[in-house]
Amino acid sequence: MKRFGFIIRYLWVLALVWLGGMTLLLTPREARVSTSENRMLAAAPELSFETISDGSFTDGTEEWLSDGIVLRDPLIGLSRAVETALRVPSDEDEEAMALIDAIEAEMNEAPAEPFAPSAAPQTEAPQATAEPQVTSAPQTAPAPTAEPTATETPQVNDAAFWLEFKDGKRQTVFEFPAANIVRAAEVLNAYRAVLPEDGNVVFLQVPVASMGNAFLNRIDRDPVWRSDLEDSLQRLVSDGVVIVKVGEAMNEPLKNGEYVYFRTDHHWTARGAYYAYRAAMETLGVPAAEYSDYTYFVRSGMRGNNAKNGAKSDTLEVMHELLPTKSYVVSHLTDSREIPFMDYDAAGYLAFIRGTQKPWRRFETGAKTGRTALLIGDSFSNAFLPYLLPHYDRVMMTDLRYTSYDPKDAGASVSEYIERYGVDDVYFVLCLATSINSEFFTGGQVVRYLH
Amino acid sequence: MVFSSLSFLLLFLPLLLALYFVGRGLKWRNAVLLLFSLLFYAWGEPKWILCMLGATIVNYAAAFGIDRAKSVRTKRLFLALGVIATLGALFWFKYASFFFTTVFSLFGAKSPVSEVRLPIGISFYTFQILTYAVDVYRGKVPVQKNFARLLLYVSCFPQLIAGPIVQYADIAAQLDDRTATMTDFSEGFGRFSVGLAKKVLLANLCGKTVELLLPEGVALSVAGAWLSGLMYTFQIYFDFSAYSDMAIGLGRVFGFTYRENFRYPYISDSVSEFWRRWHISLGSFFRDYVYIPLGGNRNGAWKTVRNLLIVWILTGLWHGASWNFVAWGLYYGLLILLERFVLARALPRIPKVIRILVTFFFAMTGWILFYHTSLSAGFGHLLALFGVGVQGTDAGVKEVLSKYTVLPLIAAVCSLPIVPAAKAWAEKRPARKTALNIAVPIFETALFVLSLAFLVGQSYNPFIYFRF
Repeated sequence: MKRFGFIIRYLWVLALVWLGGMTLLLTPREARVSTSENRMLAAAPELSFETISDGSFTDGTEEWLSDGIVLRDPLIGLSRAVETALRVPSDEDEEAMALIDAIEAEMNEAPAEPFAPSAAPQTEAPQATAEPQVTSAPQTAPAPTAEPTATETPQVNDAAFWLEFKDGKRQTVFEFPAANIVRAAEVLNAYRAVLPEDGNVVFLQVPVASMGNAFLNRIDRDPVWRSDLEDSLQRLVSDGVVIVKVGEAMNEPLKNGEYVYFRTDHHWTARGAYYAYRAAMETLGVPAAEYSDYTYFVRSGMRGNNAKNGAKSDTLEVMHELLPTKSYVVSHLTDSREIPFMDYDAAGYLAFIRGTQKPWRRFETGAKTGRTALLIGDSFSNAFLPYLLPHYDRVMMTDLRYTSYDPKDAGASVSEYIERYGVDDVYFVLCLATSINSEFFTGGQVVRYLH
Repeated sequence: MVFSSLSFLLLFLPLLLALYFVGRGLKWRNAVLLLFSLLFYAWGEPKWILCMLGATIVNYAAAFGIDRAKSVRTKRLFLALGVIATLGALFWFKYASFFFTTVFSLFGAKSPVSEVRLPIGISFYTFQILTYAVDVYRGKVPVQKNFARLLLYVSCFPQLIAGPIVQYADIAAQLDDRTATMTDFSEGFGRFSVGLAKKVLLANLCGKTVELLLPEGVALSVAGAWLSGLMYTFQIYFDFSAYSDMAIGLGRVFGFTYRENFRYPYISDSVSEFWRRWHISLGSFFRDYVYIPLGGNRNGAWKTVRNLLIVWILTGLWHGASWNFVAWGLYYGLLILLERFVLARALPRIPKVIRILVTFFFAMTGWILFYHTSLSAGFGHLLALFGVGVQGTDAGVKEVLSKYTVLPLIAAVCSLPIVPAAKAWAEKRPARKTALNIAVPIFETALFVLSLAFLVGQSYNPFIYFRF
């Protein structure tokens, strides 16, 4: 029996030798994109006296091994399965999962062939030369659609996001319990409270690509997205908080067969982000730039993180900035490191502003509008941000999710960043999964990291 | 380098094992082990290797002087030189900033000494090398003439960075003569896998919950204060004891036998017992090299009190240079004095379960002081346990209980001596023993694979759009 134990442990060592050897042999030395993680995987570190003495070689080796180890996917799958087993799924989780599964199933039944670009893809275009026709963001927000009073709390009902058909029938896709709406309003009001008097909080809740497919799969029934969430929320928030109806803004483009969502990825395209931006500007009462004011780098053959074997690939359009923009990664409130604005070499959605870069980003535009914005979002905000730039001298950006944010690196609370950089307006651009119905937004990091 | 890293598991360890076992002579093996130990230490910040070499050279020379000296006075002089130089380095790196800041702040002035970076493992190897010089002075061990062997004792990678603090007397013979059998290899790796699993599967996950429960600048709730205290209590135990398990296991693979450093401290029924089960090698060091030389308990009650308080303040300071650690050390010193001089007769009359729970509570409150970087934050947390000025619960508690629902239970169970109990049960019947001998390696293999998966998974930054 002792021999059995020895053989087993001896096999471990052989397995480690095999894993280490294969990893050294097979893992690429250069950095590369992980489409499933929406980030760059580490390159092998450079070996030099400097990198050894400052410790960057050893840190880099660990990162490179971790990102490139042979059998990485099954090992990660195993760890995720165990972590999932540690938790007891709530009813909320199960409902959300059932919903997503249902949408995904529908998407698979009728492949999304309507997703074709409305115009033939352009070739790589040069930087825009024409003067953009945009104005700065408003000094004050327009009046909400309904008037809250200071003394009485409006009655709040559950709200929903649904597809409405020509025959009058409707299919609810998301429901928002009243309690979540109230909590979301409190969050938005808390952010409004730390802004200057003429500041705005602009909230955009973004439908994901599978919902665009759900729409297109019922195109013969003449569907439209409807939602009573935005009006419910607007009734509860303070002056200066603006709720944008992003879902409804997608109706016409979807009906017209415009290319607003990727076919092989859950994100929106630049065009989809543009329609959300235009809806936000309309709600704010500010003239928006035209989609055609921008020039776009175009690359075909994109295969996003939902790509299935045999599925038709996507065409990636990435805008060039309208005004010369400098982009920085910011940490510890004031430490800045300049990085390129976009990554036109990236094969997928990571191209937009080079993906999420922890913990903060800063974009200097030279727009001379006298205003600064803060964009708090998930990865959907990456394609949205470039459209915002011409309206602000400076745009700060952060993604507060645990995987994208480390409060120690940030070194200060969100409100301290707001104060330090003189933020006037805050935009929330979050997909449906990370906003009203998520703990992340209504009780988690978005709330905790404010002060 | 740390054991729970892919660099160690995939590159360092396989290469070391291959080179170590390819040669049969002790000289070869010691040379390989020394070379790899120095590489292990240098991985990350190579410059600190000079500090460790310096401490070894000083004590090597001091011990030589002690050995050659004819008079006790000269021996004392050599010992004093060695101790002062070694502790002086420790003081400079670990305590100078704290000391000068405290002294200068008394006069409203700014300290001229800025923060000094701490060489990794200095608290451990300083104490180890001191045991050598002191024991040579006491005549307990012969002087080690072979410098490489002394350096191997100090730098031997399994215990170099985080202990256990191995006394020279315990290991001297093994430096000169040891064998690593098939059983040593097998059981050593088994122990290593258990330690790795404790670190990666339990300590790290408990750590995640603590981060969720104690974000900076956010007010605590009562539930948050209790849950974070509890999870940190488990985290620190699994983290530290895991390292000791891995060190003891790896030591055994290479033929060394280290003493146990933890013996299920959370089943202790008194604070005194807790410290006989927690970080045993540190307790032994302070007992053998501070408490007993001060007179221990042989000179009356007052001197015993004095000696205990000195030992516990030093124990606190050993863990870190701040008033929090001083308070933490004093806290234990006072509890142990209370047990010894006030409650000695009353305690045995209390049911054992109650005593264990109370001891656990005192350990937890101690760890709360230990966790926070300022005394005010520590005391604020303690007050929050009893609901002083805080809400009942908070979002962090909800998040932890939904994301890590079963973890507190698993952590609690794993901190109990279930494995020794199972082994004792199996030893009673040959059939059980056979079954256990088959089951244990398989179970440890599962733990090993899972630990590797979690190590890789820590770098994973998923974008699963419906779950973030």
